[in-house]
Amino acid sequence: MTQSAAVLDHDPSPVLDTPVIDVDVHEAFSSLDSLQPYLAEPWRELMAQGAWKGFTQPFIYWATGGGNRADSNPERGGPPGSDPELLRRQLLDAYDIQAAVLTGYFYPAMLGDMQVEFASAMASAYNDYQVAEWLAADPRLLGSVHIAPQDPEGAAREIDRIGEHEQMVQVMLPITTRAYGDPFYFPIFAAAQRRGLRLATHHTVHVEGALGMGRYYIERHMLIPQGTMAQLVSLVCAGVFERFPDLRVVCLEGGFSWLPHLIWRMDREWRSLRQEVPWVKRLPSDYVAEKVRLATQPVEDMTGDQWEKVIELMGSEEILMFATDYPHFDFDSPLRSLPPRLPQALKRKILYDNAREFYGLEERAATRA
Amino acid sequence: MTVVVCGVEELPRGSIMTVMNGDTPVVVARTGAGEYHAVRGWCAHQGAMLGGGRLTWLTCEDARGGYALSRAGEILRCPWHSFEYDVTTGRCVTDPKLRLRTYPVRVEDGNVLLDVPDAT
Repeated sequence: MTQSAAVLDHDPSPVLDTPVIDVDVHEAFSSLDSLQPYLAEPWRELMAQGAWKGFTQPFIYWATGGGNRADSNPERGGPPGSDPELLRRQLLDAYDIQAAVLTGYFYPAMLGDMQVEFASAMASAYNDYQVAEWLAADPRLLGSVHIAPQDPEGAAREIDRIGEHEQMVQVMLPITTRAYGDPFYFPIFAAAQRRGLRLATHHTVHVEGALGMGRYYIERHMLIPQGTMAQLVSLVCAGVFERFPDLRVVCLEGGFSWLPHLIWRMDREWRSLRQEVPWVKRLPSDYVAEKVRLATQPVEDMTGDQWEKVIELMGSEEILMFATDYPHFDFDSPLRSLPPRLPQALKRKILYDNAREFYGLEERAATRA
Repeated sequence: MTVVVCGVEELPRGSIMTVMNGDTPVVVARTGAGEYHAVRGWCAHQGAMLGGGRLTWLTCEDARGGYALSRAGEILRCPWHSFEYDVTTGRCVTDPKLRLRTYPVRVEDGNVLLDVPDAT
């Protein structure tokens, strides 16, 4: 039969011509029971009694595989992301990924302001689970310290406790409805700085846009970047980058093409109104260029020219870091999510160099050797 | 080249099966109405293997502003970003620029047969 010229003939096996670091990979436990061996009393006994059933999302997922890739269900059972062997096969080996930063999706931040001791205990159990069952499974995996930010002192103790593990690279700051510029959270930043860890923001199922979650899941998904933008504004205006000069932040899964707007807007407002926030001593765009990185996933389907233009408007080729978001449904393929015509040097920065520098992976390797 | 995909009973209505033609995946679909169609099995967006996706219906708006479901088993949804393809034409439902190659399928002697170019 004849085919229209509109039929797309993809190269079936495009070649990955740069190494890859993936900065957002969501490992998962098989069930809450996976945390039991790592949980302290009295929480362990309470959990064994079924006193808490875990998180759920206040909406129904509409993608083919729910919230995950439909082809990521482990043959052995359990949810997507819960089988280290499958994760290795579908992600690390499939794309020859040099390093992948685990970011979880079990965020005790979602417990709210009640029972903060329980939230911190769950974070701690999750960290020990992550170390024992994931970081030990593959040296390419890097870890995130999970905390209950509603318990800043407990969070700081947890960062001190587990943050020195050689594969831990950052502290997760899940985005719910809290703005982390509040000095209430400063003990977390002090601890992260003390331990030489980065911060990583990532949305939760509780994140809202300016007018709420929206009426539909698609709306909520469109609004996620607003939470990221709000956190960035909060951190900048609180002077977090002055008060904690070694702190650097990666904003995961919150979009990036909005950054030119935000830095222009912040700089303009700062020139007009900086008297109100004298602890913000430099142009906000300076802090962003120096301290902030944005993960690429989920990419918007831009052309190569549009990518180059957006990066030019950001003012730096060092800001973007590649992420797949495996195993979530909006996974970005290292092979196809960046346009093929992007200049090779820029592509390498996004896929590899920027993350290697941000996480100091070269220095880490040298220290271990 | 003609390939025997399977016996008709192995491909129930509303299901799909992936056949490899050399390195190229071909997804053979049987619609809710019982028709057979075949499309190339890579998503034209980011290259996911469409055989890991789901065959579903066409979702439209009904007269009351609710959901109208039609054409059961004619829409193949990608396992990753959920792009939708009409298996009867290969066209992406939301983007006329994206289209999957289609292949002739027929049934003979109780078997589903697929005509594909010779694999190189």
